[in-house]
Amino acid sequence: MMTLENLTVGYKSGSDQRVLMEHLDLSLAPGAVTALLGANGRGKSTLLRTISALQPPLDGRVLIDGMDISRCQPAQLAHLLTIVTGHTAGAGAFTVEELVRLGRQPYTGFFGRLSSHDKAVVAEAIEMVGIGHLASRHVATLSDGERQKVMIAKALAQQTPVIILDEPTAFLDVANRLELLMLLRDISHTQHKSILMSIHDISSVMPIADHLWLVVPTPHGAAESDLLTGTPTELIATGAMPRLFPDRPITFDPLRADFLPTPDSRQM
Amino acid sequence: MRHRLHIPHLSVLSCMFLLLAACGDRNDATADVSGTPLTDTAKLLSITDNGGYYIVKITDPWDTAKILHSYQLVPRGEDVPRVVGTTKVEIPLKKSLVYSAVYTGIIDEMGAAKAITAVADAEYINNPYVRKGVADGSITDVGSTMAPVVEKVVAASPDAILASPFQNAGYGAVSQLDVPIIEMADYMETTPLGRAEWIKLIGLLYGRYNVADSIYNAVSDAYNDMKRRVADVESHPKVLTETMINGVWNVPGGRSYKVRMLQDAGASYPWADDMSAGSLDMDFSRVFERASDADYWIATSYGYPMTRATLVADYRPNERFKAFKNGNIYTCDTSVTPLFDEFPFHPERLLNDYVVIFHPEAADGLTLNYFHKIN
Amino acid sequence: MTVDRPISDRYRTVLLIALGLLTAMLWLACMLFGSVDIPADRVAAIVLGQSNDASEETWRTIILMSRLPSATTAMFAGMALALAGLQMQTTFNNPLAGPSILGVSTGASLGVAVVMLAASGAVMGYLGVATASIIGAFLGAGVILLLLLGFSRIVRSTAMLLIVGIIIGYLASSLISLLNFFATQEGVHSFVIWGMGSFGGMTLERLGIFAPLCLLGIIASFMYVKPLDAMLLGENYARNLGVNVSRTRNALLLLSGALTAVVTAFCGPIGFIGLIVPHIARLLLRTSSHIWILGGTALCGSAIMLLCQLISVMPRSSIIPINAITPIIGAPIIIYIIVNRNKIFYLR
Repeated sequence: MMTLENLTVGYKSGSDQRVLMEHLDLSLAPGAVTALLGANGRGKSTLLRTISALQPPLDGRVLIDGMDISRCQPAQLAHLLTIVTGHTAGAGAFTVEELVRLGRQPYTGFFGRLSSHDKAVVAEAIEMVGIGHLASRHVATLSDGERQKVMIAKALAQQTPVIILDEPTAFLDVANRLELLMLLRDISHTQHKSILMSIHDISSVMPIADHLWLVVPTPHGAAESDLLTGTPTELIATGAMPRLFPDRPITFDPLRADFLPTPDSRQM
Repeated sequence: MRHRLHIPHLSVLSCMFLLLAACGDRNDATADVSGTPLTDTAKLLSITDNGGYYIVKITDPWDTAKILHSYQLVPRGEDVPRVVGTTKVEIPLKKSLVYSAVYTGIIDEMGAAKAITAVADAEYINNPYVRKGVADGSITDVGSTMAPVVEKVVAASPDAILASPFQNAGYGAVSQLDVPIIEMADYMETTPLGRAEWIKLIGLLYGRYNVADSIYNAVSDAYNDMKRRVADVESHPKVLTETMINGVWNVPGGRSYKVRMLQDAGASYPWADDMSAGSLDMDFSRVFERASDADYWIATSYGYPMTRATLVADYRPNERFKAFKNGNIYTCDTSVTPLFDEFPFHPERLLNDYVVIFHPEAADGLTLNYFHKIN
Repeated sequence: MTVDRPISDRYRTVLLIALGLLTAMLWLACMLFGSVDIPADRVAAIVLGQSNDASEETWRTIILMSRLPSATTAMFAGMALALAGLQMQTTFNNPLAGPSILGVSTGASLGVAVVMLAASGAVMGYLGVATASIIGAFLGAGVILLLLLGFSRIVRSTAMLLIVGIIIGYLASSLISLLNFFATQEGVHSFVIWGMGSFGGMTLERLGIFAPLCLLGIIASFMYVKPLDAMLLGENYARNLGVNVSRTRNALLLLSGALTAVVTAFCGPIGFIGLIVPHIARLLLRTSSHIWILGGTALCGSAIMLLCQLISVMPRSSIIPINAITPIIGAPIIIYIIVNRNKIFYLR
C-alpha cells in the first residue's frame, strides 16, 4: 500500500524552489483504480514523477509497504512500483515477448536468464492483457493500443503492488480506450494491485475508476494546487468536479459525468 | 623541405585559373618562341634565348601534353616586344619571395642571396643568411606556404615568387596579386640531373646564369664521374629504402628519381621492374618478400637519430632483415642534416654517399656527406 | 504493414554459429591470402610449426610476424569497435551514434597529432614512432573521456551530453588542424597515413597487449546485457527496472570509450564499423535484445573487419588503406537504413 506523508512536490533549481502541491497526506487504495485528474500545468506529472521516485520530493515522503521510496535503491524500488509512461522508440526491435520479459529484470540474475517461474509469470501477463497472438511480433509493428497493452503486460510481469500510468489512453480510439481501462480495473481487482493513472479523458474514466484524485487550484489562487480525493460519486455529489476547470467556459454535467461547453460561452 | 597541402577552396580557385590560363594559351599559340635552347636534360623545363629576352616554358607534370606556365624573362628596363601568352618577369630579380629551403640554399650559393627579401616557412630554412635576415627583420617571413599572410607579401612587394606547384592546388590569394609566380616543378623531374638543371632557371632569374651554368656543369660532371666509378663493378648490392610508418611502407617506384640514383650508384633495387615514377604503398609482407635479403638499408628519420633500437621499437620484425642482422643500415636525421635542402641541385653529393656505402672498393678518397652507419 | 515474420531462438542460434564460422573462415583467409602469394599447405605447415626449411625463413617471418598479428588484430578490432558502437547507440538511444561520435577517437587522433606533429624527436626516438603514437592516442582519448565524464556529472540529459561530446570532438579536430598547419611535411605525411587506419603495423608483442585489452572490454560488454536492454526503453523505464541510470551511462561511456581508444591507438581511427555493424546485427537477428545482438555485433564486426583487411592487401601493386574500404561497405548500408527507415522493423 502506498502512502503519501506530508508530501510537498515541485521543482527546485538552485536556491529557487517552486511548490506545486503542499502537505499531501493520503494513501492510494489497494486493489483499486485511482484516476488522477487535473488541468494542464497543475502538477499532475510532477506528482506522478515524485511518487514514482523519478524526482525527489521537496518535503515529506512516499511510502510503499512502509518503505520510503526516496531511500530505496533502484533495485529495491523495482519490486515496489512499476511505471507505464508510453512507448519509447528504442524498444521497437524487441518482440512483444522479449519486451514483457524485461519486466522480470528485477528478479533475474546477471545475464537475465529466465527461470521457469519467470517464464510462467511472463506468459500469464501476456495472457491477462490478451496479447498472446502478438507475442512474436516486433513492437514497432504494433498499433498504439497494442503497444500500450504490451507496456502494461511488462508492468504486470514486474509483479509490483503499485502500478503508475501516465496518460495510458492518449492516442487511443474510444474502443481501445475503454477496453484498456476495463483491463486495468480487472487487473487491480483480481490481482489486488494499486493502480494510479493520470488521464484527461474524464467521460471514459468516470464509470471505471474506483477513486479520483482531483488536482484543483487552491482557493487563494496562485500556482499551487490542492488534491481532492474520493469516489467519483462522492466527488460529483460534493460538487468538487467543477473545481477542476474554474474560470473556463465549460461546465460539468453530473448526469453525463463529463464537461460540456457552457451554453452562453460562444457569446463571450 | 615542405610542401603545401590541398585546401579545397583554393583548389577550386586554381582550377579556374588553370582554365583561364589554358584558354589564353590556345589563343596565343602562334607566338614566336623559337630561339637557342639553353636546357637539354630537364624534361619539364625549357629555356630559350631569343635574343634580348628568354622564353621559359614549364610543362605540366601531371599532363605532359600541356604547358603549366610560360614566362618571358626580360632584362630590367629594356623595351622588347611582348610575347603573348607568357607572364613577363623582369630580370634580374631584386626582391623575391622564396617558398622553399631548397631554393634559398642554391640562390645563396650563386651569390644572389641579397635578392631574397621574403621567405615562407622560415622555421624550416637553415640557410645562415636567411636565418639572420629573418631574425633582424631585413627578410620578411610571410608565414606558412599553405596560407601566406597576403598583407606581408604585398608589403614585401617581390618582383616574383618562387613556389612549388601542386596537383589541383593553387597559390591562394597571392595568385591574385600582380606578382609573377615562378612555378618550380623541379621536384617532379624523373632524373637527378634533369632536376639539377632547373638551377639554370634560378640563375637566369637572379642574373647569375653563367654561375648557374657552371655549377650545373660541375654537378653534371661530378655526377657522371661518380657514376663512372661504379660502371664496371661486378656486384650490385640490393638496397632497401625507408621504413614502415603506421603499417604502410612507402617505397619509390621503379622509374623514380630516387631509384635512378640508387642504380647510378651501382645498386640493384628490389622493385626495379615496377614502371611507376611515383611511389608504392606496401605492407610489410610485400616488402619483406622482396627485400628480406637486401644487402643495404637506407633510411632517414626526422627529429631523432635512428638506431637499431628505434627500428626494433618501431616494428619488431624489422630485425629480420638481412641488412639489420649485418648492421648494413645507413641513416640520416634530416632535421639536422641538409640532405633534403641540397640534393635537388647537388645530386652528386648524395650519389657520393651511395657509392661510398654500396661500393667502398670504388670509393677511394670519398667520405660520407650525409649518412652514417647505424648504431 | 510489412510482414513481420516470427523469428525463433533456434534461427538466431544457427545464425550466430554461422557468423562465428564465417569469422573463422575470414581469419583463415587473411592467413592464407596476403599481399604475397604463399601456398596454402606451406602456410599450414608454418602455422603448425612443421616448417624448418631455411629456404622458408622469409615466409615464416611473413606469416608468423606479420599476417598472424594483422589478422588477429583485425578480428579483435572489429569486435571492439562494433560493440563500442552498439553501446553508444543504446546509451544515447540514437541509431546513428558510433564510437567516434563523442570525440574519443578524435581525442586519440589529437594525442597522435601531438606526438607526430609537435613533440620533439627525442620522444619518438626513445620510444619509437609507433609506441609513442600508441601512448599519445591513449592519453588523448583518456583526457577526452575524463572531460566527458566530468560533463556527465553536470549535464544530466543524455541528449545534451551527446551534444557536449560532439562539441568536444570538434574542438579536438580544430586543434589537430592547427597542429597540421604548423607541422613539417614529413610529420603531416605520417599523420595522414596513421589516419588511414591499418593493421599492418601490428607485431606479436603489441598483439600481446592489444588482444587482452580488447578481450577485457568485450567481456565487460557482455556484463551489461540487462542494463543495456533496460536503457532501450528510455531512462525512466530503465530506472524503474532497477538500473542506476547515471552510473550505468557513465560505465558504458567509459567502456565504449576505452574500447575505441584501444583500437584507435593501435590501428588508427577506423570509421563506419561501429556505426553500421549494430544495424547489421539487428537486421539479421531481428531483435535488439542484447543477449543476442551483443554476440551478433561482435561477430559481424570481426567478419567485416577481416574482410576489409583481406581487400586491403588484394591489389598487386599497392595496399588500400582500411579507411578507404570501410566507407565502401558502410555507406551503402547507412543509406539503405536511412532510405528505408520506415520499412525497417525496428526504426518505425
